[in-house]
Amino acid sequence: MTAERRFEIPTHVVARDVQGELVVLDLEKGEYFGLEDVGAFIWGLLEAGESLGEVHARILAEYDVEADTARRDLAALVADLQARGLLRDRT
Amino acid sequence: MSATLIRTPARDQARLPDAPFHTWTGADGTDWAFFHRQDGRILIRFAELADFVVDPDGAQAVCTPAPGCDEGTLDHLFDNQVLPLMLSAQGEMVFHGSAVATEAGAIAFLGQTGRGKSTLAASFATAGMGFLCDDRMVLRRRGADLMVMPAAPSVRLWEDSANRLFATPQDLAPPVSYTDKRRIRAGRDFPHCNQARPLTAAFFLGDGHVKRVRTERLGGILTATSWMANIFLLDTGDKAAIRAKFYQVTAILTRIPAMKLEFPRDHDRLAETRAAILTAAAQAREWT
Repeated sequence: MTAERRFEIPTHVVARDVQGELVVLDLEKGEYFGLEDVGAFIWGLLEAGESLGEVHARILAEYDVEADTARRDLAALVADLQARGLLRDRT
Repeated sequence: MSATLIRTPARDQARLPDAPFHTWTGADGTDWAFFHRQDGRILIRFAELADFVVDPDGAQAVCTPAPGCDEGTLDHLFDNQVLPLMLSAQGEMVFHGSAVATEAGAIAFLGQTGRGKSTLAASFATAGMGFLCDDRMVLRRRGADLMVMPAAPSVRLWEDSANRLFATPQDLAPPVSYTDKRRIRAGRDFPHCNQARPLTAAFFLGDGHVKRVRTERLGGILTATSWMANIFLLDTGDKAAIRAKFYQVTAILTRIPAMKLEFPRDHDRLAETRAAILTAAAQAREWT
């Protein structure tokens, strides 16, 4: 996981907050994806253009979690979102 | 908003060059409406009944009946199937749903064909809570409220439901040829509510494979996807339209308490089901 990496949301992906949960719709596939709590928090930061390192720091500031655990979970979420085509590296 | 229908003379349905991009499937698993793109418009084919070619903005539809299709069927196809799609294309919120008016406001039932929307609406009406709409539901904002708009004063029911719900013969609307359902008109013992009512709760119907009535509050994600799954959409491949509907649903409809409803498909237990729904709806009003 490179701390400088930044991401963007493809134009065919839309997301809205609903009752504290984030509903993500992939318009290409017609599939929905849900993110709760920490996931929604991370999505908002990535969408705003913050780097992985910045997001990691924000998680540590916001939640009671070990740095290594946060780094591992963040990397897993980003990999999952990328595999689903909901997130891509900013070029 | 207006929706214009133009009729052309009946003619045989010509074979279409492409496969449909979308179909509607009935409760028995048979496809009965086929959606094609044609010169920038959407052609909806109701096999052996009629073709409707609809402008993408939903302003106009051209209907070409198949030979022998009766007027009642054509009117019903337009009012219940095509017009909702046109209204949706014009920006209205239109759903596969039925709704009833209770003292506390409107309750909506949404779900796939065969899930019991009409049976529940009719059941509430026989208990004095008039039905607002059957099978297609138009919602409009009025101030802070989201209103269920009244629709035609009839409910379509399978014969067994109709026989079990009504002790005496009811006023039947003319039959339509594409379904064996009976269209039962509103009457003294089967009231229709002809005024818009604020929506206070939405129930999304399960498959009915349960022994007891069960309601379960839906979270944000399931609420949004449940509404989206029951929306009328003219062109299911139109990403801009889907995006607009998604924003509409997430911004407006998810404020309405939403629940999953499972109930046994047993006419003898409809009173119990109604009571459970009213209790759940009353509890739901506490959430907001």
